[in-house]
Amino acid sequence: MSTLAQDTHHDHDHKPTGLKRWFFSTNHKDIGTLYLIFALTMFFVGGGMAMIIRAELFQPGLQFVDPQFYNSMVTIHALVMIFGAVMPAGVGLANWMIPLMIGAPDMALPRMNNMSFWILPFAFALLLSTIFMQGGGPAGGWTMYPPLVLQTGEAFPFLIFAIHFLGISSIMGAINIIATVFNMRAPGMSLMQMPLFVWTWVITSFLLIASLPVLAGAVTMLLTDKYFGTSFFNAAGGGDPVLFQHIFWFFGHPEVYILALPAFGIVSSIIPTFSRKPLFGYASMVYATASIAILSFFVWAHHMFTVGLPIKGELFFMYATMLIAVPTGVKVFNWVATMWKGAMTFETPMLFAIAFVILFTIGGFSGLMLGITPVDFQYHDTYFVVAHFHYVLLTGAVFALMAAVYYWLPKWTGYMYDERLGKIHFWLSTIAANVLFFPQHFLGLAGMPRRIPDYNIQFADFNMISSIGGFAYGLTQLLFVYIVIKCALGGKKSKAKSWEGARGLEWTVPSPAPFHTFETPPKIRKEMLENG
Amino acid sequence: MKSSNTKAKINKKNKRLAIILGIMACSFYGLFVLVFAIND
Repeated sequence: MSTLAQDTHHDHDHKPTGLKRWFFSTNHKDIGTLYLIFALTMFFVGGGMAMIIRAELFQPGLQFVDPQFYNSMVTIHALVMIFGAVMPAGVGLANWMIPLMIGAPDMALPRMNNMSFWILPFAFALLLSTIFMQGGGPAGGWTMYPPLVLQTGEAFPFLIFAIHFLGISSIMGAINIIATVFNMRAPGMSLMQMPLFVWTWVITSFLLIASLPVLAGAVTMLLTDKYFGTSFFNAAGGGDPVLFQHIFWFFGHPEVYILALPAFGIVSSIIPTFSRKPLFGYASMVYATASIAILSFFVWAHHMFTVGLPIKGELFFMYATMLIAVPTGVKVFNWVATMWKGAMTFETPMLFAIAFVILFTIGGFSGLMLGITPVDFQYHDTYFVVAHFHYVLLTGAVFALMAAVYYWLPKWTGYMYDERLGKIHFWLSTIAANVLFFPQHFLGLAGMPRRIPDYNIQFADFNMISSIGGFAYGLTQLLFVYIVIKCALGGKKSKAKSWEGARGLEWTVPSPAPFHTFETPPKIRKEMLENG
Repeated sequence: MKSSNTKAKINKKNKRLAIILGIMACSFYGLFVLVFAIND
């Protein structure tokens, strides 16, 4: 432990106990833990739904569930994984790590932080309760396209209000992160000295503030179309259902980067640590992240090439989409250049980070294919799209989140996790995820449509392989829970600096990080900074 | 924080920034609904 840490983290590490500690917490570490536990729970809820989907698709024909229930599983799986698992996991990491990385005593608005979290369980109670309602849960897909979504039964208002609550929670979280980073940095830490993880979260927060209200506006209009006689999206009343798709994807595409940018930040912390080299091209990484965020607002219609856009529109959105490959390429090359001639070691976080770089790039390339208008006409609404976004979101975002948990677990618990089990978890996850999603490219290219519970016999073999991969991936994640619980309960003690090559303020505080940190702002020295 | 004065100052700055960002979010929402409501 450094002298600085001893000076700064004196021994009045008092904290509330019992339920009060968790319900009324304003401590960034406790709220971060709550977010992470919630996200893991939702990961298993959404994962359970994925298991139902893969079980049904194991063979052609209807096996276990009726088509309505199948479609509601597809819809709620997506909503739970996006809004309940990946986003809260990212916010949990942000809560835990941002104040530690910038030398702040807590988040800027601690009570709002508590409220942001506690909205989530209520929102998901609303959403998940719809499964048991008359008419079933929402089954029109997470994109909620009218007029199909307007056929939803009693579940409809619950879906809309759940989305409003989730939006409010995320916007409050985003405001908190921006205020924390802009106003609470330790004196001497400039914006361009912050770890890239912090940068990616600042940019993500602006994306959240700009895009989530648009989704809220769109779903409010759906609500008034269904219950108050408006015709925003009703062609019979002079409205336009395609308008909804424009508004939805104006939110939906930035949302993809809301999930991906924090993953970029995580990987940008881990690769330098295990390469024992500073991040290559730090400034270019910051600018690339900002460029991706800005461009994400100009590509939305590549999700709807087949609705009959004017040719000039299709060309614009195609080229704008291609353009995103440039800053993304900058990032990938910078990660590779960071590893180049580095003294690399391959602990579990690094394995997940390297897998992220490779597999996310595969997902990026299939995205590029989908962005080419004439090609998209063939692939649209097929399993190729499902394969593409699962490479981006599962082997991309979720792998980065797993990497982050292994990387910072010693800082959170004070103990090192079981490295051997971690590596087993990594290899099983990577093999299973590829067995699960790679064949779906072939299914899509052969013409299998998405969101169907039954399919032609010609798709049987690849579906069976995909389902086996799915079950294996699901089972493997139980091992992850075991590793985390085992680490939380004890093991080899971690030093303040858990990894030999780690740099940054978070490694100057003891492990586990005390309840209160940086109550006196640290004196920043260049060698303490991740990117000093 | 070094003194309660500095702490109060930062708290004020935080609240001000939160209000500005909150208004931004609300106006994005309001603008979208309003524009389409007028259009309708």
